[in-house]
Amino acid sequence: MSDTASPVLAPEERLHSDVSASLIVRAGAELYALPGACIREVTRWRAPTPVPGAPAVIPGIINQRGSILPVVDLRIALGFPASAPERSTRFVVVHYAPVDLALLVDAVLDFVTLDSEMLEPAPTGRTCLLTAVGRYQQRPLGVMDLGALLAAVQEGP
Amino acid sequence: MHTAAATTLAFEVQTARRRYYVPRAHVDHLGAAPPPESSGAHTRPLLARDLGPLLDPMDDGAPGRQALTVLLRRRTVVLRVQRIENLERITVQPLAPLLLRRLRAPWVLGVVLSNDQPVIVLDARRIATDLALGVIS
Repeated sequence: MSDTASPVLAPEERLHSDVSASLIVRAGAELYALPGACIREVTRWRAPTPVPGAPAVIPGIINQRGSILPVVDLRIALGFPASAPERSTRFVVVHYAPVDLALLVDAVLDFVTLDSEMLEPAPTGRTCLLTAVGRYQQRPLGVMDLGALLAAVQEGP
Repeated sequence: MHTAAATTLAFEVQTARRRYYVPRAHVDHLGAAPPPESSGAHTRPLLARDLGPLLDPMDDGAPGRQALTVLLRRRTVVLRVQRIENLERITVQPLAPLLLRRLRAPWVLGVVLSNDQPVIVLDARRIATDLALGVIS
């Protein structure tokens, strides 16, 4: 079985991907929507076990109900600095076939249905990890492209 | 690439801040830690390093008091640790491919769940070889 994440979608395809049910999370000061279909559960932060030689974007592994999952720090993946965990810090357990991982975020805010008509294609640049942009409670919102995120983590800097 | 769980005998070792497993088959001798670098009475050059900071710069503390000795063809490598706790039969699970392919060096054989906590299983022979080759200092 291949362990490579699903191919990254072209920009016009991204906008029509499954973004309706979404988990709203905070990474740094910014808000992001994760595709709800890929979310398995949300769990409180606990110290991951560091793996010697792993990059900063993968700060360790955790045991989640008997499965050992790599932790991917969404803040570092997006180019933000890592920060100490707070009460709101969470792991979002994600399955993006065939990859399972725990996404480290600063907070989980809401589970919502996004109206695709309110979304716009993501601009280029760092936001290539996004399928679209929009607003959530008057704040800018990026809709994450999990395939692009995993490809970036796999390929590394 | 590791694809299935494997069972092996391994030492549980404690560094200043972390816990690891090292397969029994990778270790030739156990004992008190020798001085940092000496050849002394040994017939081959002896290279001694603290295991903790090799694996994690934050894992720094007093020099290890116990040692895992790995005999290579031309050198003897001593990996110092704070304590050697147990010799256990462990079931090693592979690391996720996403993580495995990003490791800076292939020093990890897999992971063991111990009291529900993941504990890293080290490839001590590979670490010793890289030390002997000067790949790491």
